Amino acid sequence: MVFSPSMLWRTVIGLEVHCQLGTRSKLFCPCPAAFGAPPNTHVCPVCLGAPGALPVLNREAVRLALRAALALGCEVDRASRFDRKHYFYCDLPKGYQISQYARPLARGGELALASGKRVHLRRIHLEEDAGKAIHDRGAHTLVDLNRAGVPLIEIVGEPELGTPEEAQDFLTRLRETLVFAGVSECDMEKGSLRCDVNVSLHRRGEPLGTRVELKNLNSFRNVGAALEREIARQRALLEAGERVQQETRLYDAARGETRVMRAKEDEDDYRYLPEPDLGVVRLGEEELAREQAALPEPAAARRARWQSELGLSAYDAGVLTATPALAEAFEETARLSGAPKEAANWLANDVAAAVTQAGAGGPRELGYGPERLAALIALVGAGRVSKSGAKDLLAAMRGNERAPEALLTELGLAQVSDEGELEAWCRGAIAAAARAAADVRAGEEKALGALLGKVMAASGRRANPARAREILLRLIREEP
Amino acid sequence: MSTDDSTELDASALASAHAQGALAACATLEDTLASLDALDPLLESVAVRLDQLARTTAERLDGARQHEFPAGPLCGVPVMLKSNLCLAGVETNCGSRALAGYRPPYTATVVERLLAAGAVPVAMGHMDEFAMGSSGENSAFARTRNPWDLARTPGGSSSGPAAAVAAGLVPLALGSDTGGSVRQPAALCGITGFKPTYGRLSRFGLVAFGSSLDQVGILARSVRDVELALEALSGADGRDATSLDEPPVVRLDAVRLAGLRVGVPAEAFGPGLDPRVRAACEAALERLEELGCVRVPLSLPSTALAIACYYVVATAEAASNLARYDGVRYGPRVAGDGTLAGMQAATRTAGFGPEVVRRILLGTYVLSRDYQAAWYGRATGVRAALAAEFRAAFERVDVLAGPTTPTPAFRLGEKSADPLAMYLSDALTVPASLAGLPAISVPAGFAREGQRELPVGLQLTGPHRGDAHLLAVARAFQEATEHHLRRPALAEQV
Amino acid sequence: MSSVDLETLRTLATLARLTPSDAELTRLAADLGRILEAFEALAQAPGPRPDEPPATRTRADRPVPALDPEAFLAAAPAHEGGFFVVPRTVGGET
Repeated sequence: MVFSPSMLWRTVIGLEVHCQLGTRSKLFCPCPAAFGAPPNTHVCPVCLGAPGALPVLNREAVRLALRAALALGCEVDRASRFDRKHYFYCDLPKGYQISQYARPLARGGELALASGKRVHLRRIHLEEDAGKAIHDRGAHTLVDLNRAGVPLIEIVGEPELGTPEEAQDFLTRLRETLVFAGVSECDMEKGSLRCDVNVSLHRRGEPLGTRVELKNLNSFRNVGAALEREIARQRALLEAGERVQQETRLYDAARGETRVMRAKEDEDDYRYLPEPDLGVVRLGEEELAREQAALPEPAAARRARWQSELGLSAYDAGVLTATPALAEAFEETARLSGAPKEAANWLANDVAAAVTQAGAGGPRELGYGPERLAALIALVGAGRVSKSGAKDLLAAMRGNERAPEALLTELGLAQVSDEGELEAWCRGAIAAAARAAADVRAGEEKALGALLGKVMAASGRRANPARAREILLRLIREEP
Repeated sequence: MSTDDSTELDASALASAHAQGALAACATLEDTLASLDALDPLLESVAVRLDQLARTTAERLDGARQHEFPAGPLCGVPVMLKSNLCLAGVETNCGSRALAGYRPPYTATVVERLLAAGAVPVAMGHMDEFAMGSSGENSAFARTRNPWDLARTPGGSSSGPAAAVAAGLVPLALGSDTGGSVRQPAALCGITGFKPTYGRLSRFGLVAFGSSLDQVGILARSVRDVELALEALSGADGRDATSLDEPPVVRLDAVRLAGLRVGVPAEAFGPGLDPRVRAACEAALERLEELGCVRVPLSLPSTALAIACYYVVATAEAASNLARYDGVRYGPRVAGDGTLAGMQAATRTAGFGPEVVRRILLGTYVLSRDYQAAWYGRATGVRAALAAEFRAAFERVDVLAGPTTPTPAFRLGEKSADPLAMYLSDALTVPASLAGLPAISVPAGFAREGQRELPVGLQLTGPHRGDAHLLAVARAFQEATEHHLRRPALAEQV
Repeated sequence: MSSVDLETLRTLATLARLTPSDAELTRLAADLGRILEAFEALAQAPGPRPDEPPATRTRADRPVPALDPEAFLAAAPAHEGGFFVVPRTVGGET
């Protein structure tokens, strides 16, 4: 066997995740926090950094950050504080960012990966976002301050991840936890979830290597791809006997490579100052207990419970926890219908697909509220609509406020169980496919499928297939 | 009442004359504008005249009187604002080239309340750049002079407002006091200057210098005018997270001076004190004793470190607060080398005067990674120790008394080349600032200086949130003395 | 520790985005040295814990309409299409 030095390298990855809290207004001023407005239309003296303006803390942002901390099992500081972090850039109106440095809102906590591995968290703190500098339009840099002051939490994970896959899974689990706790919508496309990665390589048994920080990772896929590239780059350097420089690199998704953004210099001195314009963020035991109690059940717990108690497949349970709205819709539909598997079947397939396709917030928006889906399931269970007819009914329910039962009649989708009508369609099918009937009579029951198909086609899919099958068999046996 | 008299009246008298219809706000305003025309060229107290806004306001007030709308407590009182208090659409330049021509898009809470109380803003007043200075000489735009001696400084940094009130141009002005910037010029100009408890007056719209120290202050000719204004301006503000969660301060009825315990810190009468200031303040203390006060000698040992502590904390916060003047969003821009960083550096270097640059660098030094613990960290500790000494003192006494300044008004140019000497002149006012306590300077007598007499101020300091009682004591002193009634003979100096 | 050498002062100036001339730097170094020397007693003082500030005032999460951009963009040194305009710079904090 050829000795490969690359087998000796261990990779150490740590993630820092910025997540926009789902508040309506900014962290320190009442400007709307909404995404996508025309430039500089969500700006006031405070987030503009106008002389004399002062920050006042949004208490909903504190509550959501607290939720995140509780959902991740962190130790919450009952008296956290804000600091000013100083640096100059055109998107930072005050010349400092208000962040939590010495006394973050929470420390510790952990996150379970799909593999069961538990990754520890270092801290969670509240901070304000910077504005946006746009470099690719014209000869100048353009500055939009709509985002300046939007509330973020920064979640710092311990460097305990070993592979790009683990890093991606960490992000997936973290995102799911935050979304299910109602902290944030965590939409990377809108920038409400952002990720910086640090990565280093070292030989087993030796001290950790020099860290490189990667920025500009705006999708989970980019996180994986950028890590692959960066690990390969560092390994090549180390194997060539060169040193890895401590620096920050940007990932260029178009070129699939990382490049230096800036070297980590000693001049990087943020001169932290306790924010004199804000007091202590005091959290009482009562508030902590209230938020802990109000925390919704995490997605992983729901999946486990649905599989063990309701008999759902791992796949369905996974699909149904894609969003809190879908999970809630499932829980409620299952409860109302008393048929969890049926509910899962509808929601995980047709409904989930429709929601994704429409870009809707949840099933209810499309007319697939739990009451209506339960009614559909009841109609199927009572044999009043065929499985295939039920699919048409589901399509008809979309965006239509009428009750499923009314729609059933209106669309003529009600399943026909009338003996006379069914017998007529069956006789027609036997006449049209005499050969298949003969095969059935000779004991080849498989051939019955072709006959049943003809019955369904002739009935416009309304025939009750179970009854039709019985009638077909009776007719074939009766006739010599 | 003849219109010639209106500039002789204090704010309380003017407001009630306007409210009762004995005097029209417009007539008072015209008197004020006329005296600004005549006298301000000597003083250079006015940064920006607001004639049009003032006339509109006065006409509206007079109109409202005719329709018998209730008059505000400051009805028709002409006021000057230090030019670090934002008034929407009006140049608020903070005495700095960095904000030359800057018109804020909003109005400070205290200014809103001032207007709501019926005051008439007539001018923005000159000041040391970003309130950094004790003589007015750090203004980029003016050399404001002391009405008692035009060759001398009015003190600073609320130089324009103090000089204007002292000269009788306006009866009332708002300033700001970070380490003494209202009390010190009030003392040097022979008027009453009050710095409330930290958080008493909203800082929203006060351009920040040292945020944990900054307080809006009131300059007037009498304590009763200060009380009138404080009631109208105080009260919690949802836009300033550090504002006290208390209702407006209501003026107390006369307090009994008999038995009142007046603490006299030994450190306030240290060896550097001008003998004339010592004599005037001693006389004032004796007057208080005659009125029944009990003199309690005491010591506040940490005040020895107050100047060092103050200049570390204030410059650290100033370096931070002034980071926003980067030429991106407002203010004049200087292109520099054409890069973003180069533009920001060129803009800031051109915008700030030498004292501001000095303080930014000092503040950057004491906050920088390697020196933060030794300087900023120690300073916050000393600040806590000083506050604790004050708390202990106020368990034994009701007010503290001492001189406001070590010397009477010094000559313009006398200290401008020596920043350290200028810093040391704040030694008596910074302790109350560091502890966040209410403090007032009231005229205590005069120091003879050649042919002239220069005012001396007595500083009274109260316990945290004890504003109303402190003011009542100061008022009682003032009612028993006449120093505050003397006026500078400005015309004779021309 | 109370002397500030020119190199340190240059670093401070860079951090503070200021570019004083060499002559000014020399003068400032002397000023700062003198001031810090006078403040030396502070650095020798025992360091008790600073007072903890009171609990901060907070506000409800109710958005209010923002400023009309015209109110502040007109005062900007350079603006275009609703944006503030600055010299072209690549991403980064420095």
